[in-house]
Amino acid sequence: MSLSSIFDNFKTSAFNKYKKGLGDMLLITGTVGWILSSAGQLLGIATNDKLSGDQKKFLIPQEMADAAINIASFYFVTRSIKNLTKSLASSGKITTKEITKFCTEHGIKIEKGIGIGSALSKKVSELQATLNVNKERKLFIDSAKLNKINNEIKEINDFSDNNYSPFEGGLEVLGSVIGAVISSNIITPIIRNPIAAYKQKQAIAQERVQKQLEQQQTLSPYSPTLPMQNKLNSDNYKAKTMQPTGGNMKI
Amino acid sequence: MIKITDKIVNLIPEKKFKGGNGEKFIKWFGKHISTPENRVIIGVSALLSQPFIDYYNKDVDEKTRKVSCARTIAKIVAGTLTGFAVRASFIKLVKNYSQLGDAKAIKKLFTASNAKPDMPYAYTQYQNAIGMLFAIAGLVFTGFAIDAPLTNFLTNTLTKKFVDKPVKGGKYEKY
Repeated sequence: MSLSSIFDNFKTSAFNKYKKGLGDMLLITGTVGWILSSAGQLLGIATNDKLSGDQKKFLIPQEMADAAINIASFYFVTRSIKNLTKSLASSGKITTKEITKFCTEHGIKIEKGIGIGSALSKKVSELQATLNVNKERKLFIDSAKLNKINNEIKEINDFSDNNYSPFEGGLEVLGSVIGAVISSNIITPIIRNPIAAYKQKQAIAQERVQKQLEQQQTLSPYSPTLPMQNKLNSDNYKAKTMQPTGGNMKI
Repeated sequence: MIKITDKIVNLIPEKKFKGGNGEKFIKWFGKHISTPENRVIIGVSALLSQPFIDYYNKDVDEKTRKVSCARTIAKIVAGTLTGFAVRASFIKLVKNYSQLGDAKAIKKLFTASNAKPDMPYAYTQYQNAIGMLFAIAGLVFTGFAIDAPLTNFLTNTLTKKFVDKPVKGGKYEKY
């Protein structure tokens, strides 16, 4: 398969998948966008020499908590609300007078589990199958009936593309946007701040303990590392080694 | 998840639009709100909420929460500006090179063979979707090269102006 045909197949598939609305694409690009942005922000904090150590101790855990919670809540909250609003449109719970009238006129029933969009596609498939069967079997269909079937297929496709899909797509995108706003601006900041504050306190406490340990080591006479001012050199070596030591310890 | 959605759908009362502003708004929203506009909506709403949550965060000391607030504002402004610019640029690029009908071959580089001129809504959605996909590649670059450094610059500027104490002689004392 050539590169050109792969690209053509990609474009055809993308058209079929996204022609009805951008709800799914908003979710995907939003999630990927947050992942990339968070990675960049973490690097930015770590390399920002204008921030103090204590500030970084809060900001880095805050950013990590922000990233994890933001990405997870964005994906799950946005997806849930998007699916909900789309279901409201496809089930006919929220609909327009035009959609109801069209479905009634063309005998399209809105059943549980089968959305309006799927019902419209199913009707077109049934009409197309009628034409195909008659064509294959070379059965006689008068031109009036043939035109009627073709016109109905065109009418349903036009209605689906220019009337139903914009309505369902609009509700789906509205759900995506609402979900994104709620997750990014309310859920994430409220959850990440206590987590980041806890991490900061942990980091500061750990640093304090580390400093205390280091101080104890430098002050202890039995420390294997001599303090700088008492480091042995050729002048004090002799004096040091000739000093009487207590006890019977022999080296 | 699907069962929960069905249950919630059952609880919501039915609503039938009769061609009024509500229906027009929903259709307009679906046609005109793509990823760049979505990014701006998230950014503007973030500016109205997140800085305040950080500023009044009592879990940390005063200077940390002020710096955190400054950084949040910087992150939102930088992220929204770069996010919108990248997304809008790639969508515009795809739209210029995905024309239908009579056009030069190069101008039909991203044209889908199964698209028709009498499907304007469907084709606009397709163009936006392809533009968004390519924008991800742009975001990889701008996330590290522009977003983060711009956030640092704005954070330092806001911290210097609103957090650090001004002292005599026009200089600032680090808070």
